[in-house]
Amino acid sequence: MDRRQLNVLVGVAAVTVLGLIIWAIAAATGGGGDGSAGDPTSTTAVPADCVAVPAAVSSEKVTLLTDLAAAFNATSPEVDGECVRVTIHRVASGQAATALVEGWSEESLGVPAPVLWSPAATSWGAVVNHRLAEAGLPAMANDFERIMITPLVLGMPRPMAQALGWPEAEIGWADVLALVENPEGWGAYGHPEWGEFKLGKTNPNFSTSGLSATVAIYYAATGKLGGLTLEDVAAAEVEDFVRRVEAATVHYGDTTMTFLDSMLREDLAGRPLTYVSAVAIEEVSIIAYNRGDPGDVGLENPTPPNVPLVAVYPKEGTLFSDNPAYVLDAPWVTAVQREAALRFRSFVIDEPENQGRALEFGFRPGNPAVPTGEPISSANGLNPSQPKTELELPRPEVLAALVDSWESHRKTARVLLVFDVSGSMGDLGGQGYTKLDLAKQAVLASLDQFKPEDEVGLWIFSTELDGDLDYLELVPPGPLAENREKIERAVRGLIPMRGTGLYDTTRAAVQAVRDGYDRSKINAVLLLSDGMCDDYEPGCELPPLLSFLSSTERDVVRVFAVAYGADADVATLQAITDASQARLYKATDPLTIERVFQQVISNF
Amino acid sequence: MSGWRAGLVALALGGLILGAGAIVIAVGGGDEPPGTTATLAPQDITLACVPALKAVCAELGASLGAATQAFRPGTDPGGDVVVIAPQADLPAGMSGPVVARSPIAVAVWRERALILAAACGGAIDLACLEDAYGRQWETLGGSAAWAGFKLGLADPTRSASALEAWRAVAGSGVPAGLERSLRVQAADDAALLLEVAQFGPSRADAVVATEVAIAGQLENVWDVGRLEVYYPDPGPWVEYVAAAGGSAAERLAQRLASPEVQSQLAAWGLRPASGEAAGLPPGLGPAGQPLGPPSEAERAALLAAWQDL
Repeated sequence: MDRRQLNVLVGVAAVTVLGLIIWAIAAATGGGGDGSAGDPTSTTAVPADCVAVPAAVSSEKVTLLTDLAAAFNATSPEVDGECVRVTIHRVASGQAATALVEGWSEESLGVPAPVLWSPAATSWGAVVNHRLAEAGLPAMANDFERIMITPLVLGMPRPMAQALGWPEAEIGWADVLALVENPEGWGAYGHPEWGEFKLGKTNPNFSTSGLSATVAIYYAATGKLGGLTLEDVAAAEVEDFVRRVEAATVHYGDTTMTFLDSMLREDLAGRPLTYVSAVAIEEVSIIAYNRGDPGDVGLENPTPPNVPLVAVYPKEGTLFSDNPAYVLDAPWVTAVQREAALRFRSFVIDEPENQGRALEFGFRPGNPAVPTGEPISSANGLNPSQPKTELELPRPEVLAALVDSWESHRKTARVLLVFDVSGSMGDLGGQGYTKLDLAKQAVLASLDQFKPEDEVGLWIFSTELDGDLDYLELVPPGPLAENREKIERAVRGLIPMRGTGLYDTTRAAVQAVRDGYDRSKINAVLLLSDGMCDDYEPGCELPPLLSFLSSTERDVVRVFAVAYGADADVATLQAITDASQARLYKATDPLTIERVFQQVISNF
Repeated sequence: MSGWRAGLVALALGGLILGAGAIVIAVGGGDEPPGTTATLAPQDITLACVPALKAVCAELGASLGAATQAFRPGTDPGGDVVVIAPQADLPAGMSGPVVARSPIAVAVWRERALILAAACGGAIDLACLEDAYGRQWETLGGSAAWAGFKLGLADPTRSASALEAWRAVAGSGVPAGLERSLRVQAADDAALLLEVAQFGPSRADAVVATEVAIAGQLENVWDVGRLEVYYPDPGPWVEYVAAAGGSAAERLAQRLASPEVQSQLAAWGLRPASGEAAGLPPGLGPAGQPLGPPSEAERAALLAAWQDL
């Protein structure tokens, strides 16, 4: 979805991205459920003489529902004498919500209009109905049942949780705050070697779990379980609590995979307790992580972590992702398809065996007649009798104010944008634009996602831009409120030239951020590159760069990289982001760069 | 409100249940006399039930050899139809004799019922709940981890049974502190009980709903035990009528009133149109004396009180 489409969806002519809401951004970026970004996937071929019953589902349950659809189809189901077959398609919750509101386009999504829709949470169905009502159209997401549920928890490495008294002790956000502000850090619990407490938490503008965690923190600040008010959100002591908790955040991100991938990588590298102390994730993600397959993609030979995660259910209460299955009241749904979808839903929910499959995946069954059991057990660091209490989703206007407030009180970023202007950036990227043109548009649009206090600087790199140096500082880091015009002017003036001095530029950029490291901020480099290092030897020796990037466990400067275009050196950029405990984003198709840039900047 | 903000507003509606509809059973219009057990030949008669009677309809449908399909309360079912619902939920112009009843009851998770009963001197009744509204469990003798006392209610503006439950809670005035304890999660009592069974005591410590809706989830046990059921005395009862929309349907409605069918109701957690129920599921027991139906003025006052919360 491009910016124009996003604006159509949210119904505004000019979107200020600072303050963009979760559903709109998630729709634009493919987010919605955590880890739900991804290309649509069709899973089943339908015989020519059968009626297809497409189901659009968020990524966390694609594997499960694909298996169950196969089992359902194996029964040779018929409706009114017609053969019917259910097909499962991966579509992010927000992306599907957008399509249902705007008009489903099989051509652009690669997925047929669904008869059954299963987003991450019922919130998405309400979004669709609300937007349709605004357009004077009837509600579409009416008839639902829950396939399975999973609560938001704090996932912690077992030794760290145990140091806090887990599993006996009740632990919550207030304890997190106390530890964050303890000058001894983990030393107060006998483990000075663990350093300070570090929190992983996704961006609530992008991620359902990020929004749930943010709501939980605001509730924790008030001591309430429900009925959060505008006055609560604006109260000075609440803002102060939120700001202090957010100060522990290592960085944000669009999906929890941002954290889980890095955690597993660090664990397998023998550094299990250095990256984050706790991450706000769904309970089901802990099971997947502990299997060594944090994305739950069915890895053939997953390597489990050396130090497993355990679930801390915040004592102040938490929220659930409730995975509804809607049989849509949509004009394209025929009576036969509807009946088939109802039967499939019943097959999934009413058949205990099939609910048992959901349980195997780590979800709590949606059918209460199927008791929660393994793998949701203490052996896996979970507690099926938790959470003891659930938080109420705030009223609409309160939620809006809460997200706005979070934007103001989230951890400030200090980011150096490092931009490849090598000659290949002058190649056509699509729709008549060069790759550089498209990247410039993406950078300019993404500046809205920073807040005025964020410090942003701009470098470019090629080869020999400043004497022997392959990089050139165009705008020194400074508050965006002061730097914005300078950055915009500089970006508009960029032209492609010469080679790709990737390695020494990366090293210099990280060193520059290290030199001015501010522990109260997220210190990072955002690196965009479309090619391979072609600087003179030894400028293109990777091991020394990786050694440099991983040379510190404290005051880490993370390099979030964008592999841009088909010729980008993905392997090298992956190594760079791994070494700096960050994440690689791919924009192989240059036309996707704006969407990808939004995802990258969700980390700040 | 800007468009994006409106979107966020919509997002906050995530907890809403958007109406899953009820069950409809298509049965035959045979000529068998009332009280026979012969399976009817499927024809074009529809038996429509409110959600709380889903299981009952399913059982009836099975015993009569009938198929089922969804029905949404408040809509015109059309054709030869028997609707089993509170009179107030029926489409205009439909009415019929009472064929079943269900008292409004209080259900509390066992672990918390024990604490609540002790706090209330041994018995859980509406007055006991009123003492708990707005309070932290810790002050009632429970665990601090349970946080505040939470009551589940269905939306009384959306169904007659939910209005009767609301009447039980607020018929004598809205209790102090209720607004801090109230969790409204569902459009009807069946959906409310399903949610409570799915999410356990984290969503609601107690619910006030029809006995038949509670019965539908009595076998689903959390580690905190099952739902314990208590009856206000006197208390509201919901009466279900069988309204027939055609001559063949009329015969089916008569069958529902037959002694044989009436005697089966208790096994499904439903009480007969008259007399005592025998064979209710374990956990259900003698109910309180029924209050008469609310007057129009009382109904209006209850809805107004709800809106003012």
